[in-house]
Amino acid sequence: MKKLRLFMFLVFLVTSFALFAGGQEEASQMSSGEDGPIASFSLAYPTPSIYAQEHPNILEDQWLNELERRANVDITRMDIYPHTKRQEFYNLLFASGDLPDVFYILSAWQDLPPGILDEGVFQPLDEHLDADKYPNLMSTVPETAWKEVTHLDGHVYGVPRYLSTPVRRAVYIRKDLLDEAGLDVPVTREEFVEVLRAFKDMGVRYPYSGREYFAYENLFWGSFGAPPGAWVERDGQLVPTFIIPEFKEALTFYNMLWEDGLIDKEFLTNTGSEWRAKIHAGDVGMWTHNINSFAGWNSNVQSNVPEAELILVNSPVDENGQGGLWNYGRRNRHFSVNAQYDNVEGLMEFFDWSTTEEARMFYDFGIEGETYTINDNGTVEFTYPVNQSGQQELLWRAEFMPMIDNMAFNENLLPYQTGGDYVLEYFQTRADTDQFVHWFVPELRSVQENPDMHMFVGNVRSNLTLEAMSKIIYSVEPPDFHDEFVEEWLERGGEEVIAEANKYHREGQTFPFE
Amino acid sequence: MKHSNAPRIDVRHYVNNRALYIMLIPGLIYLILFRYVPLLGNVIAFQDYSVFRGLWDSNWVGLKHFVNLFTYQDFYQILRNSLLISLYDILFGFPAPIVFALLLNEVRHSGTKRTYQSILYLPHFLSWVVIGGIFTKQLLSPDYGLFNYIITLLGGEPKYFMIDPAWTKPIIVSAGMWRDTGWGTIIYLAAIAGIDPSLYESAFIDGAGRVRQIISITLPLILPVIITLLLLKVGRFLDFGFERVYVFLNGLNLESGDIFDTYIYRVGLLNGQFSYTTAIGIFKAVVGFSLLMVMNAISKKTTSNSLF
Repeated sequence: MKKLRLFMFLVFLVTSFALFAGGQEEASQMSSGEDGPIASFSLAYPTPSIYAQEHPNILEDQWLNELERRANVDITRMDIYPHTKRQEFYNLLFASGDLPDVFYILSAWQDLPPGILDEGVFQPLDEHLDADKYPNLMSTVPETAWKEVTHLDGHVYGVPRYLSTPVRRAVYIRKDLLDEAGLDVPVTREEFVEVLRAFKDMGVRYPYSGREYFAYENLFWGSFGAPPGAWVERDGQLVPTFIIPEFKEALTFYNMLWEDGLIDKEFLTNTGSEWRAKIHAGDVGMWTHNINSFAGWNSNVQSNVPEAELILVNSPVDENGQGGLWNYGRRNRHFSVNAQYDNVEGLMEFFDWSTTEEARMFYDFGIEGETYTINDNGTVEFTYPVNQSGQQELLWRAEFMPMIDNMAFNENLLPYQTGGDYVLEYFQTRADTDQFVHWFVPELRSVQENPDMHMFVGNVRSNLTLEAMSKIIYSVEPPDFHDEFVEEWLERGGEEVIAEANKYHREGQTFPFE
Repeated sequence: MKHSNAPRIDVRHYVNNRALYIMLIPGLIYLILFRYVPLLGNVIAFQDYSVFRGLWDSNWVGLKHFVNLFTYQDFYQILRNSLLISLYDILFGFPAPIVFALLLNEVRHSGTKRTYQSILYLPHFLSWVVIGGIFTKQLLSPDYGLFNYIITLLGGEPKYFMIDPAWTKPIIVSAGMWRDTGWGTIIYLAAIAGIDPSLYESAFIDGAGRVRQIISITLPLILPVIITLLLLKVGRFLDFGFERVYVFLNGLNLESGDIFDTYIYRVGLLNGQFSYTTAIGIFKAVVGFSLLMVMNAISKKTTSNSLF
């Protein structure tokens, strides 16, 4: 009797395991439909979308299902992952070997395991880039964006979500404080410093603030011609800004800001949320961030400081009028395709569809009669959601679902947002004038294999560099410490990095972002 | 001598206790599957492991990654940090629960004792991220931190503790102590509770005071527990833990706070250098194992208590 029970128990265990494994198998077979969608694919999808991250089962999301219906595609699996953890996500994904058909890739190739493009994991897409077959896609995505997803072997390995203007950031200033100080909108570096000093004297707790890894901290670097992590040309050679004399000048200047209390004392240890909290509380007079986030900043600051008024301005220039914020190039995100995937035509057809006017209406406004109506004069009647969850849902549909689009700004939706016209105007007239020209350099093997050499776009992630910068700014070392740093940087792998970059430079595989 | 007819008795022994052995199976499977099989993965330390090629097709490179590790400029700094932080943790963090347990044991009123215990246990249930926030911001921020507030009240200059390498290790170790000291008292309190009360009574009759009783009765009797826990801790000497250090690191205190676990995370998980970081893992395990053997031998010699 006992034995029988035990046996039954074991049988139960084994079968339940089998059922569990089999059940998953079945589910994925069932969803690959029989009424012939143009493409059926699975996706690895790191995303900032809170809506998607919190969704219990994204494959049953109403907007994704509606997208599948309208585009006639079938998404069989979608691995949602917070975008801030994408490096771990990709590394674990590739190590697991359970690869999806399509990979959504955020910061070019540097988030992925080193050497991935040489391993034949992704398939070259060049033969599919056909303007006759995919007219919408090919006419929308800018030439440079395609160049940025081209590997050294000359093949294109991605379909980019692009930027119509390569500058996405601007300087935010509290106009109310500026008026209180009786100062004009600053233009030169000296004028910016004057404003910060006035803010400090008025008792603004943090005249200017930034956050760890120099993320979103771009204010003055461009005016010295040395934004961290950029490649610039000197006497026909490409050099990283970290090692040029101008970088030392910039560090000396930031050290002055820190010593004089013009920049948040903790700006290099602030996390993103701490930095936001300080700004929302009304304690910060000036910061740099995405132009697109203007409405969010406005409402958050005003909820604590009702009289607050924000303006967007260009970053400071030097005495020759030179300066500019980071130029992101034209590729912002892209989709790469698994080499084993056999229906690239269908996938490209989907991407092509997503750039059409019809698709754009759906992504931005949703379903006619439900989320928007069309007036007699042809204008769209649409209400921008006011609550957080409504906005997150809208962002998921209009910005974060799979699509090929202009990620710089959303021309359709901005007019419906508070202050949206102002943002649109800034994008169309003033954003482009505020850009620092630096060089596109393909993924360097010498960088991938040496963590000390990492040159993250916009963020400083190499500890060697981060430590040297922090020490000089926080007065732990004198500015001349930069000379020692340059020597060490070159010795610990910098020589090879520069040599490799210039090899591609001579071969014509580099180009200046404009 | 009982086992002279070993084979026959053994079979009967297994048959008689089959229920126990069957219950053992899941645990064994777990151990083999999740503790021993992954050990085989250590071979990638001798390869240029590529996730795309897998274990079989990656190139063998011999000791390349170990050579890289030992010749890496920051290796000795990281080794030094790992050793020092663990050493401080053993010097200060290890005796703390013993002292607390002895003190708690002297609290006579059981309600008060329970209250103290609960309060002491609480921090253990906070995640490191929260503790990192409390320490780096609420307590130590140069702007609004409690410590700096007190320093200013006393007429001093606020100090930015988090960027001063000299403070990194004390902060990391004391945050760990704050979190786990109370929790660590549980085992010692249990050991103390197991001591025969008649020993204290006779000591009292012989005129021993509270302190004498602690020194001559309590401590010697819980010594085996102390030694066991100490040896277990030493065995994990270089496994200080990733999270509890990572939350305190920034660009400026890295030179005195970066340990193997945090370095492995950055290089291995973020940069995908799996072979190199496996080599570090093996190095750590070898060091930990040697330390354990040495300490075990010392303990056997001096206190006749040991793990094996």
